[in-house]
Amino acid sequence: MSAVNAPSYDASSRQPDGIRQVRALPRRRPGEVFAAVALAGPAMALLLVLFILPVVAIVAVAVTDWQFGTRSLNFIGLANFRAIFADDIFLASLRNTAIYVSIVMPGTVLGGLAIALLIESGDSLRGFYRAIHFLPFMATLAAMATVWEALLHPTIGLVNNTFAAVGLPTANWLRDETTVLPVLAVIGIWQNLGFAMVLFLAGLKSIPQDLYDAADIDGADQWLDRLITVTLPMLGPIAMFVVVVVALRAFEAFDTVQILTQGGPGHASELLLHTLYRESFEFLRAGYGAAITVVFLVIAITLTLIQARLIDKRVHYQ
Amino acid sequence: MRTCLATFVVCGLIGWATSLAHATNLQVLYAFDRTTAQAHQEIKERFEKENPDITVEFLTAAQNYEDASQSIIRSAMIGDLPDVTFQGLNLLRSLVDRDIAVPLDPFIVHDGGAGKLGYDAAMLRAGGLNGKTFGIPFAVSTPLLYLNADLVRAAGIDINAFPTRWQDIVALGKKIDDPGRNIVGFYFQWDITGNWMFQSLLFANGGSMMSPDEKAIAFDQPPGKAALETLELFAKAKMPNLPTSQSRSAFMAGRIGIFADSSSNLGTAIRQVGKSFELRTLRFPLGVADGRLPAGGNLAVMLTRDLQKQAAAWKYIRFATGPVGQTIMARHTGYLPSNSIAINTPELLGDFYKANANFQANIAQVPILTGWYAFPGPNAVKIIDVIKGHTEAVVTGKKTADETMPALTADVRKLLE
Amino acid sequence: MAAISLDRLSKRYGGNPVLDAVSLDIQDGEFLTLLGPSGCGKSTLLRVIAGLESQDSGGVAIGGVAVDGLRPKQRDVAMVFQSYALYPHMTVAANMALPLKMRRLTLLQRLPIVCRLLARTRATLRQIEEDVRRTAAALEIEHVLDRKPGQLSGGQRQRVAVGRAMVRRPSVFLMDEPLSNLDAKLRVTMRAEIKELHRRLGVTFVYVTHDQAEAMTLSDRVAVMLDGKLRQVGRPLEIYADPAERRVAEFIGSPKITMIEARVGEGGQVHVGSRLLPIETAQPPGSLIVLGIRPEAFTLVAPGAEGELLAGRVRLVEHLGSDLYIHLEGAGQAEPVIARLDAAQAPHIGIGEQIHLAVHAERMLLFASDGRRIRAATDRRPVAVVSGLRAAARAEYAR
Repeated sequence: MSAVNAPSYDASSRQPDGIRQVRALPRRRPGEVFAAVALAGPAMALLLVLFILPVVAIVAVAVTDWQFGTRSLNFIGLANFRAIFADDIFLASLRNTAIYVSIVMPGTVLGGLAIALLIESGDSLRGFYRAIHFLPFMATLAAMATVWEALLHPTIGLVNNTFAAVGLPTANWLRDETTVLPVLAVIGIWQNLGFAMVLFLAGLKSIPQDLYDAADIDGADQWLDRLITVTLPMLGPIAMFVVVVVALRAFEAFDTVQILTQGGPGHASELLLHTLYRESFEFLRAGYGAAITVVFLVIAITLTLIQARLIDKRVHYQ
Repeated sequence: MRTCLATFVVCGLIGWATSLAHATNLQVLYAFDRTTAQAHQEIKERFEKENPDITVEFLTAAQNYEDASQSIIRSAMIGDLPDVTFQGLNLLRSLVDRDIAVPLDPFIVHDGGAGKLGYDAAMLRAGGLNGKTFGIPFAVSTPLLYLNADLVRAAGIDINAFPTRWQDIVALGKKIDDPGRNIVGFYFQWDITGNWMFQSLLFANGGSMMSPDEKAIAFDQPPGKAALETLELFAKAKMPNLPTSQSRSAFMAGRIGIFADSSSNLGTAIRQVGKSFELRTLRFPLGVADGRLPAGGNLAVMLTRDLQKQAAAWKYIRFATGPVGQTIMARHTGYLPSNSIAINTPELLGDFYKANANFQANIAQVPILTGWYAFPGPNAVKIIDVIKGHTEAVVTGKKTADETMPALTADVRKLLE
Repeated sequence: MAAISLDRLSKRYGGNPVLDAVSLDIQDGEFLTLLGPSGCGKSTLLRVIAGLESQDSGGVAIGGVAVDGLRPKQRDVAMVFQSYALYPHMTVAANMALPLKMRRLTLLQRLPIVCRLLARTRATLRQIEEDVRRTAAALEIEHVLDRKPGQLSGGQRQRVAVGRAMVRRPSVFLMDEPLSNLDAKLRVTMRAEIKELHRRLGVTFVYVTHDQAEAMTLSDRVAVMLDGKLRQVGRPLEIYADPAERRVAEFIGSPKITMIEARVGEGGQVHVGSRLLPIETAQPPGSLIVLGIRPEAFTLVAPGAEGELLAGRVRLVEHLGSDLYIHLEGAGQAEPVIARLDAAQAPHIGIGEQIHLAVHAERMLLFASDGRRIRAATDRRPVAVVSGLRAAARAEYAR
C-alpha cells in the first residue's frame, strides 16, 4: 500500500484552489485477473454449455420444422406456436398441468408443514418419523411408480381391496378420466412431502425459543395462537422457498405419467413435460416439441418471478 | 513390477488384435416380446455355430416397435447404429425416408433371387418401398379370434357354427359374460400399436386408409364408417377397457370367452393355456367377401454401411429369414413365417402346422394380407396417436361414431399438410 | 397484593441441580435483584416464577395465591427478555397491542376480517390502541409505533420490550438481563430509567443480572445466587459491607476483594505471616482463616509504620482518572493484592516500587476456612439484617 497516497486532512496539503489530494487507484495485478477467471471460469463454462446454449438451441429449433433425425430443416417462423395453441391435445395438457400443480403445491406445502409441526411437538422417535417421511423423496420415482401401479390395480391392488373392506368407493383409478389426474397428484404429493417437511423442520428449529416464551407470557399459548403469532410468520422465508421449489417440481412431473398412464385415458393425464417428450421423441416432430418447450420455459420462469416478487414483500428477515 | 505390467498390456493388445482380425461382431436390435426373445436367442446360437467367425450381439431389447424405431433414429443421429434391426412393418417408412435402411436387392440377386431363397413375392412386397426392397419379413401376424371353447360351449353355443358378423359375436359375448366369476364374454384388443386393429376392421370391410395416389383420405368412406360403428357396438355392449398385459393374461387364465387379438400371442397362449381349457382360433370376421387384413409383425432391415459388416449382416439376415431361422421363429412364437420353403417342407414346419390346428386360421389368412399402413409425411407417428385417441373415445363410449368421423378426418387432414 | 413467595424450589436438569431448595419472600412493590454469575440458576428461577418452566418440587405463590399449576398468562406477570423477543413481523404498535388483544378478545374476534365487522370488537380495538399510545408516550417511543423491530436501535427495542410488558399493567415485572445487549453508555442511562419506571409504577420488580453495578444501583434488595442456592439476601450495602460468606464477598465488589490467609494463634489472636493483628476471634487456635479486605480499605503507609499489614512490589498501576488502583505482588500472597489509593498519589508510585499498606481492623472481613463469615470478637456491629427469610433460615445466617 505504500504506492497509495492516503488523503490528508491538514490544510497544508491543499492545492491552492482547495482541491484535496485524491487517492490513486491501485492497479490490478495480472495474477488477480487470472485467478478470477480460473475460479469463475468452470462455473461459467458449465452454465453456458448446460443451460444457456441449450435454451438458445431450443428457441432456434422452435422456429423451424426440423424432424428428429433428418438432416435438413427450414425456417418457418411462428407457425409451430400457432399450431400448438390450435391443438386440442396441447391445450388439454396445459389445463391438466395447471390443475395438477394447483393440487400438488398446496397439498405438499400444507402437508409438509403439518408433519413438521407434529414431529417438532413430539418428544420421542423424532428421527424415525423424519426418516420414514423423507424416504419417498429419496426413492427413484420410476421404481416407485411401478409399485403404485400395482397398488392401484383395479382388482388385485391394495388400495381397492382396502377401500372395499372399509366401505369406501373403489374405481379403476388409472383408467378413469375423472380420477386419473387427482390420483397422479396424490402420488406427486406423497413424493414431495418429505422434502417440504425437511425444509420446514429446519425452519422451525431456527425460530428462537424466546419468541415462544414471550408469546406464552402475552397470552398466546394455545397451539393455534402460537402458530399464527410466532410459527407461521417466522417460517416466511422458508415457506417462500418451499412453495417455489415444490411448484416447480410439480410443474416438471413426468415419470409418473410416462410409466403409469402415458397420458391416457383420452389425454386426461397428459402433462406438459410428457406432451413435450412425446412430440419430440415419439412423434419425431422436434420443431413442434421445441415450441412446447419454449412455452414450458416461459411458464416456469414466470412462475418463479411472480412468486419471488409476491412473497418477498411479506417475508420477515431478522 | 513394471515388466509385469508391460507384458500384461502387450498380451492384451495381441489378444484384442487377434479377435479383431478374425471375428466380426454384429449388433442387432429387436423389440421385446418374451417369445420373440427366445426365438432370436436360438437363431443366434445356430447361426454362430455355423459361422464361427461372426458373433451376434443383441442390444437391450426395446419395449415396442415405436421405441425401437426411435432408438434407431436417435442412434443414426450420433452415428452409432446397430448393424441389423427388426423394424415394425408400419415403421419401415420412417427409416427409408431418413435414408437409414440399406436396400437388400443386390444381396438377394447375388444369392440367386427371391424364389431360390424361399421369399414369397407378396411377402417381399410388404418390405418394399420406392421400388426397392428394404426389409424382409421376419415374423408376420394377422388379427385372429381366440376362443375359450369351454366357456363358449358352456353358454350353449356351437363352435362349428360360430357367427361371422360382429353384432352376433358381441351378442354371444353377452351370453358368456359372468361378472360374478370375473368373466368377460368378449374382448377386442383395440389399442394394439399403429392402429392395427382399426386398420383390420377397415380393410376387412374393403376400405383403405388413403387413396392409391396417397393424395386423399379414404377412411372416411362407408367402410371406415362401418369400422367406427363396430367399435361403437363394442362400447354399447359395455366392453371394459383393459391394457394388453391385463387382457392377455386374463384370457390365458381362462377369464375371457372370445378374444380378438393379434396372432403374435398364439405361441405363448398355446403354451400357457396348456390343458387348462380348450383353446380354439377362428378367422377374423370379414365385412365383405374380398376384404383384406393388414400384416402385423416385423422385418429384418440392414443398417450398416460398412462393406465387410454388410457381408456378415446379409448372412445373418438370410439365415434368420431362411428356412431354418423361420422354422425356429415359428415354433417359438405364434408368428407366421415368411419363408415358403419353411412352410412347405414337412420336416420344418409343414408337419408342425398340420399337427397344430390352431395355426390353421392364421395361415389361411395369408393370401388376403396387405401392408400395415403408414401415413406419408413427417407427422406419421403423430397421426397414429391422433387416430388412437379418436378410436379410444368411441370404444369407451365417450363419443359416437357419427360425431367422431368428421373430427378424425379433419385432424388427420391437418397433419397431412 | 403482589408479594411473591418461593418455598424450597428445586429443579434438576439431568443430574445437575439447577435450583437447590430456594426459598425467598419478595415483598409487594419491592425491587429485588437476583444476582449471580452465569449458570447459577437465576434465569431458571425467574422462568419458574413466570411459569415458563416448572419446578421439580416446592411452591410459588403470587399475591398469596399458589400459582404452581397456572400458565404464564394466568399469573399476571410480564417479562422483558434479554433478547427482547419482539415479534419481528409485527410493527411496534402491534407488538405492544398483542398482550391486550389476547386478553380482551376471543379467538373469533381476533380474526382479521371479523375484527373489523363487529362493533364491540372495534370499540375494544380502539381502546387497545389508546392504551398502547399512552404507554408508548410514557416511554417516548411514540414516533416509532409504525416501524418494525428490525428498523429500531438497541435502546428503542429495549423500550418497546418494556412497553409491551407495561401495557398490561401487571402486578409483577420480571426482567431477565435486559441491559446486557446495550453498550456501556446506554446501559447507564437505561439503568436510571428503569429505576424511574419502578418508582412510577410501584409494582414488584424481579430483576436478574450478573452485573453488580446494576444490582447495587437499582435494587431495594439483592439476592445473591451461587450454584443454585441463595447465599445471601439483603440490601445492597449490606451485601457489600457485610457478606455472609466468602464467595459472596468475592463476587460483589469491583475490583475484587483481596483475600489474605491468616492463622489463629493462642487465645484467638490472628497472625498474618509474622505480624500480629489487633483482632481476636473465637476460632480454635491453630486453625486457618482468611481475611477479606476491600481495595478502598487499604491506606498507604511508610515502611514499618504502625498498623502496617503487608508490603509488596507494584506490578500494575491503573489510573482511572478518579481512582487509582495498584496491583501488588509478593507480600506472601498467591494472587496480586489490589488497593485503591488517592489519585493524587499517582505520580509517586511507579511499577516495581516497594510500597507498604495498612488496614484498619474494623474494615477487615473474617472468613473461616469453609467460607463462612465469622465475626471477630471485637466486632460490635449488629448482625446483618437479612429480611424476608423464614425463621429457620434466619438462624442459619445469624452466626
